[in-house]
Amino acid sequence: MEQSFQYFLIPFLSWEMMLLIWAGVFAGIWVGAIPGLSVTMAASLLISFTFSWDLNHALALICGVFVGGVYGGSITAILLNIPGAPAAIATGIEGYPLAQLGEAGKAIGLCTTVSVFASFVGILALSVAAPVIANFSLKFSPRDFFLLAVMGILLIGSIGGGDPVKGVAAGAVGVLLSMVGMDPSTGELRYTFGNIHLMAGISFVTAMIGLFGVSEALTQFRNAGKKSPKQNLDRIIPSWATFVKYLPLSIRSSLLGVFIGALPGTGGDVAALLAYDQAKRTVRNPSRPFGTGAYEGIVAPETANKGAIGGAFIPMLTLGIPGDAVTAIIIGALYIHGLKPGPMLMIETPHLFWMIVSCLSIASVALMVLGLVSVKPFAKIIEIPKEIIMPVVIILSVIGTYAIQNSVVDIFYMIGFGILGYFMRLYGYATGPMVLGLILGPMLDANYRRAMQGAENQLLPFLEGFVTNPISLFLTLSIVFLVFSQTKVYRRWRGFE
Amino acid sequence: MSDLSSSLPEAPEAAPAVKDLSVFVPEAHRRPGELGAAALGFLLGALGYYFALDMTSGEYSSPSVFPKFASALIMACTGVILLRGLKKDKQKDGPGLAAFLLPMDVVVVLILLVAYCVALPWLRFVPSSFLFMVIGMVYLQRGKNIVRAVLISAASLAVLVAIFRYLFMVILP
Amino acid sequence: MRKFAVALCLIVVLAGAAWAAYPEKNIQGYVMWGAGGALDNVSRAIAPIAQEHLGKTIILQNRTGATGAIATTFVANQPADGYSILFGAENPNLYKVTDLSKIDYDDFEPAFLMMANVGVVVVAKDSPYKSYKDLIEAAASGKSITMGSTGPGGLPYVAATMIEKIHGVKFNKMQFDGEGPCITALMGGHIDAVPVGLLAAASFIQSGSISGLAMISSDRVDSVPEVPAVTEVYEEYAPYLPWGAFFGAFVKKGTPADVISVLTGAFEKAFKDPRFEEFAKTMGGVKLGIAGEEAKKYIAQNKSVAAWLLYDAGGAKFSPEEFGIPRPEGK
Repeated sequence: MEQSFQYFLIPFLSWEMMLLIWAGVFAGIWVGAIPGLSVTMAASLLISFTFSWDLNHALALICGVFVGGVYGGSITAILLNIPGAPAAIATGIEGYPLAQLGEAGKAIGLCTTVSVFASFVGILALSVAAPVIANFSLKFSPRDFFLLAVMGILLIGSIGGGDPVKGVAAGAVGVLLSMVGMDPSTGELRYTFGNIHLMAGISFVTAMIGLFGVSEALTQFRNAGKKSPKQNLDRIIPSWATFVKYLPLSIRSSLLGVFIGALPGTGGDVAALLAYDQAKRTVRNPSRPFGTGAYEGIVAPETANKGAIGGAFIPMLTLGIPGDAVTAIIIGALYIHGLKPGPMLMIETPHLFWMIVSCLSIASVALMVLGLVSVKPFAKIIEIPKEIIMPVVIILSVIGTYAIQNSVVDIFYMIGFGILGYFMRLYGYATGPMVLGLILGPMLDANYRRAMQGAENQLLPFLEGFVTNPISLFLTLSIVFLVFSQTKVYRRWRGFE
Repeated sequence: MSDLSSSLPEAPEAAPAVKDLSVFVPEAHRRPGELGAAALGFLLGALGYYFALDMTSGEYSSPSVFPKFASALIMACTGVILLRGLKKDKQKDGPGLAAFLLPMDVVVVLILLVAYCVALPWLRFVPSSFLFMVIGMVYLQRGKNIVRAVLISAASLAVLVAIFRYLFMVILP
Repeated sequence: MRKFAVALCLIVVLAGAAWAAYPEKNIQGYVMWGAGGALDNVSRAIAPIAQEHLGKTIILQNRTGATGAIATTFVANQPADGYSILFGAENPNLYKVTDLSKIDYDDFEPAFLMMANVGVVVVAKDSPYKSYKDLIEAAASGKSITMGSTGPGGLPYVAATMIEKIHGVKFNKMQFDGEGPCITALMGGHIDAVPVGLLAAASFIQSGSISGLAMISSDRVDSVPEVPAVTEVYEEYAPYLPWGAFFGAFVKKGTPADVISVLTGAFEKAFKDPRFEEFAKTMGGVKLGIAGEEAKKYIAQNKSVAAWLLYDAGGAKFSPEEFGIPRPEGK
């Protein structure tokens, strides 16, 4: 124990590490905020960059960028309705209407506060329960991942705009588009028509930037002459009472985030979507109706994606299995620095575990300070007349898209998706479900097929699995409940209507 | 507690323009081109299904299962939308199809976007982006503040290039 | 006189430009697999050391998709000047027979092959199969065994095909999109066994989280000495060996020979650097360190084994014969 505490103190005793963590968080906020730049990209770049550094210093910087980057994605989602990263999609649903009401400052302030709280929940879970959670997460079979994806897809009901049929149609188009390219499990080419660019598939980040960013800009031009909303920046830090009001929701969502983050292969994006859906179904009296600027709809996804940071480290540090793309890169970094990620990591290099816990804690504190300081300048961005900001947003989208994999073709896709999104909005098809379909489509497809292969392609054993395995049964029942909870009978009984 | 449940009045003009469009309120009249949009969606589903027929199939875990499922779902949904649209009355007055889809400002921005895509490969990133931003800003501000537009474009481009080119070592097109 | 001086200066400058030692600007490196994977780790470990010897930066980026065909095609369309390096694995060797792409390593020159990856058949630590013989005999007795696999052309896929063909057995296959997810599923008890590259599995075998039944090679490997070579149990594997994955750096065919030799030299020095030695030891892979004709021969042998295996198992669209790929001897 005493030993652990000593390891925990390592970053506090080195001014270089402190500085690197703070610098990392600051850089991370920008990386996250700019669409197309992702934490994954920054982390893999940092590996080459920090090759000759001391490992502790490199890890400090990467941890800082990780925490800052997950947070930064929400800023652009709230201000411009362009999620800087997929994990911020749900935040934009409520955040953007709030910014249009002049409450961007309050929204970002609340987002910052609950983010820091959730980040500590994740760190706490990592430090006290890592082995338990990690071993439990291994028990999730392909069938369970399929069920999780189905839960995510149900969100279409929440973000589909007024008409569920149109929402489902848009979601199905998203799923169909996600099938384009080489099937990762059999190598079969689907909808590629012999085109090498289609073979790599359609990157959902490209689609996301187009469908949210460019289509938003185009839609704005329809109402020329409308003034940008004036921002009220009096009280950006939420009061203690407000924080306490959202505390139960914060705890619930951050724990959900920890857990989803700990599952190998799912990260903050799925966590945030599930948490938003969960909040929308369970919060009785939101500050405003969901979809028009409910603060609960910001708290839930923001706490979930921050909780997922600590969660992602859980299987990485205990089992050597990455919890998400960023921790996969950190594993690579450890190899390059001559360490052995895996179960032996805790035994051979115990200081590493506590040092990472400590780096993440310092990064969360840094996030609190840097986040709150930058609320005002960020919120001012919306007051810039849209005639000026929108062309800049379009160019930002272009360069961000290009940066994903240095491909000019992606820019054309992105603009194509932007134009498509513009027309979709005109006819009342929300763009959110389409992005959802693109993100969850591969997860649905691959895991359904794996589960089927596990049942040797027999329908009956496949279906049996849903009720005989305890985890699958729990998830199946949850889905049944989620669907049932949308019916009139239930809502009347619980007093929602 | 009350500071977030906001004392700000729900001013109607503050409601976001986007939400007006994306929240579908069942209307008595259909929008111009609404049927066409649904028909296009149906066609996409049908094509998706048609091309999925070429994929490996035969087992429950074949690669063609999900594409077929998604295409069928698209056809079903757009079919419903199409039928519902047919029941609605045609809009009598109001904007025609072109005016509804493409107001002047959107047309200009779309043309600029296409021109930008064409220019990008041979004008390179920096000049074509600069031109796009300046022309876009000057047009949208109806010819006012040209100097400001140039300055803002140059400044924001400089920041973007600095971040992407030098920090992230992205070689710009 | 003045004119002459100017002309002289001009000539010197022009000549300098023409004869400037490669590299005179930063080099782009394209990694064909995603960040965090074995190829990515190897590339990111060797590139920073190699660039110390080159004097310019190698900017690495991952260009994934279509088991590497995207990156391969992209680099093949860049100028053959040595400023675009392809960091590739063995996958392009199967592009032609699977009709994935017309461009494979025939259109490239190997600058350096860093490491080889040997297949190893692994099972969960509490698996009923204690030896490779147990596993094969269980499969032969008609027991249903779920085997992890990846897309055609991946090491697990070709290895599983090899095992099925040699023993005349059939496994129930569950397909994942990488070796890492295969190992995760194995640890969670969702599959019974999987053949993966040792680089992905070594640390898990060393820590006892999973156990290795057999190396698909004719010798044991230093990093996991307790795992027997497959030929110790079944002689039938010998004609197919050595076979495995490899990781190398390639430039487009037509790149000037002196440019290639500069690159090869830099990678060779990096390869011998103690920092890379250390990395290779932790990763658990087999060091290759070959270039030139030797590397080409190595690639050709790998290609002939993999292509014919896939073809014989019915996994290829075209016969390797159509592309002049010879059948491995003794088979």
